Amino acid sequence: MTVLSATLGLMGCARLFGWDIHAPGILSNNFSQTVQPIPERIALYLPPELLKYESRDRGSRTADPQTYHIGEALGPMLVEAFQEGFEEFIFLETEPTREVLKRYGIPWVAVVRVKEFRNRVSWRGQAIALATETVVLDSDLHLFTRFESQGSSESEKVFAKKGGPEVNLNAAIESNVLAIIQNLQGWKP
Amino acid sequence: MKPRKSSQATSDHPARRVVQCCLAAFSLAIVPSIFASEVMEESGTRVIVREHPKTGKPYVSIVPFQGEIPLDPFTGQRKYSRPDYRMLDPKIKSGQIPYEGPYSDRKKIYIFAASLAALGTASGAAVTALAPAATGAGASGGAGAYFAGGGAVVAGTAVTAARVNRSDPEKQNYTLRSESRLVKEEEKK
Repeated sequence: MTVLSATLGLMGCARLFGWDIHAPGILSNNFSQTVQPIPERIALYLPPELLKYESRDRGSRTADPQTYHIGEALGPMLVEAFQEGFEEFIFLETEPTREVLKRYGIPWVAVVRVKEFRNRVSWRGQAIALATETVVLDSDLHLFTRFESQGSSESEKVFAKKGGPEVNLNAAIESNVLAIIQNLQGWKP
Repeated sequence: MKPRKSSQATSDHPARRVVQCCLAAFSLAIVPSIFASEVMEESGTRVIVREHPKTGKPYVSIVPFQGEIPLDPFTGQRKYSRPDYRMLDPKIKSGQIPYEGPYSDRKKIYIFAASLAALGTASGAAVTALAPAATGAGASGGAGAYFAGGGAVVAGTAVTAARVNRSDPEKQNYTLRSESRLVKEEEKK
């Protein structure tokens, strides 16, 4: 009984202690300097689970518990990136169907999901990596292309600064989003 | 009197009336389009315009046609200024670059946890586990209890000193990476 209560207590502590990390969820000025919009119409669909995606990867055995709220930042950053990257951007809040795509003349729809989130905490600093998978469908919902993107941010003394882990997470997400947009802009149907 | 007559004659001019009618019709068409506009019952969707939760920039969104307009998936998000990733540079001290985004206040969490423990909400074993950590955090001003984080502070200081002595000032102090790769169908299986 004592062991059980101690275990439960420690589990509770794990949730109380540590870092609750929310990224700002907005792109830096570097993004708009890197990406220019292209004259394409494209829709974006984000599965509901993406917006709720969290990770409790603490990065090392000795590190404090950390909760990374990835989805809540990734969603707005993807929307902003598509706004920046394409002249005609449409956000789909409903699952894409042939009827919808044809009705609105949408030639391409991109569906993004989180594949993996990795955190590595060391004595010197922290490295964060976010991997996503993007599927591009045509107006008949046929698979056009599928690619994985990875964005990472690595720095020292992250936890010693106010907002350090939050900005490091934001930078990793932005790097991932940049890879997605550049890849999408690169293909020519 | 003559100019007044002339003015009346101008306002009654048929061409002017046509222009006024066109402007009225145009303004009537604009107003609903700001909120919810086109309804496509065949596809079970409607088109609305939403504002980006962080930037306020409007974008087109297609939502299910279900009477009420669904809640914005990004509802409740706060606006922050764009992050400056130069603050990830270990040479940049905390607060040197303005940051107005979210941050995890570890000290508050420890105080809250300690108060809960004092009230007996946490188990006895948890209190034992909590006490030294909370004391460490309070004493060191938020830099001691986080094992890796505290280490990062100490090690980071040493690294900063080491960096001053480095002969290669061009060395990158933080790393952002973006990459994408195509996924072949056979890789999925």
